[in-house]
Amino acid sequence: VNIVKNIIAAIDNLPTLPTIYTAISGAITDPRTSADALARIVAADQVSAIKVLKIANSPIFGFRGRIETISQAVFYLGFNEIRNIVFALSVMHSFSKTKALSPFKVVDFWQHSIATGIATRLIGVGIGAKELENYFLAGVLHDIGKLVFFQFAEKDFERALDMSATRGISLQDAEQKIFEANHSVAGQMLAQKWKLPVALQEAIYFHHTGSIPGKQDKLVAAVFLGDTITKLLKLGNAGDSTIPRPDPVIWDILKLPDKYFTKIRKQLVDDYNATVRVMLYD
Amino acid sequence: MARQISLDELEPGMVLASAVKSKHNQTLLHPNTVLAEKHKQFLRLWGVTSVYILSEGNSAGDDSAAEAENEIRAELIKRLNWQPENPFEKDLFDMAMQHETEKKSLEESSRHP
Repeated sequence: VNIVKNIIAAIDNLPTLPTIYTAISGAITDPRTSADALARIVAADQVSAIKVLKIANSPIFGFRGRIETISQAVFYLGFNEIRNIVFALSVMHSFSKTKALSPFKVVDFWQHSIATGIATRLIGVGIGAKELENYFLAGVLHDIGKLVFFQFAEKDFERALDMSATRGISLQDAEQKIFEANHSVAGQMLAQKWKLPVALQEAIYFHHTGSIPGKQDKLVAAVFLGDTITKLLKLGNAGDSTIPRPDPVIWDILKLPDKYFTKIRKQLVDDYNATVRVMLYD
Repeated sequence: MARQISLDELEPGMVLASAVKSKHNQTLLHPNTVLAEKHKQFLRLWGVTSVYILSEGNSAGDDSAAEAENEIRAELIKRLNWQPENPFEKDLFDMAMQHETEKKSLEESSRHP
């Protein structure tokens, strides 16, 4: 059985993203699009509009409750940040009917993903990253391949989860034994289907090592550490409990400030609680 | 309270706060081991660069707090399966220690309001 082919077939059957995301992406690439025009596209979808406002006001962006309209959100956060928030919400929405497996619930998965998004963004802030708007989204999407297995191979995925727990091996190693591919590959394929920027595809594909061979990539390194931090703090559930030691090259790439993790811990936990409430429950 | 020191700072008579493990997770020395000069060479041979020792003022009333901290530390090392070595790894470790300690004390205070 060519398992990779099966994954591609499964991905072909996955829902395409809602039109609002396509509309926003299209508008952003057109240099004549004004902030008001973009705000009108977001506001046209009432469900997204309310969530976008709540997220724009969440502590992640530091505007806490001061943003009252979508136009203001576009003005303060910028086009790309708004597009990425809408994208994260769209992905969560398109997988909302995924059922829970006994050892792993979808809500746990999203909690882990949101936490990783926040931690990755805080690392981006700490290193003064240029394309900061990609950090939250890359963290949120890093494990998206797990949902492909969740949806289309639930029995086998359950076996992989079980194998990881009983043998103490990482989930990706268990997946490799069962599917001959792991969730970073499945996730990258999905990201490709969605035509996400290459930087995000790479962040998904390389999130288990934190580095791209022959390249100094800050986003990939930050996602690896974001994942590590949320596993250490047990925010959400990644489906396995292994916490690999970061490759020393990650520290060289990021050059983080001294004692940065202990400094951001409280903010991370606060941001996490507020954001999970908005994105998953409100 | 426990404190982390590098092997170079290690002095005979110091007491280990937590087990020292090898890269392959074998226990090299148990907690509460009173360290002698020979341990230093032994640990260096195994590639260990730092250890946790009990710090002073630890004798009387602090015992239960130190014990609780050691428990958290031991559990964390077990989950990680590796020992923090460079300053970044140590900071990650400290972050997790603070988090667990805070959670424990919140649980305690909700049990004894």
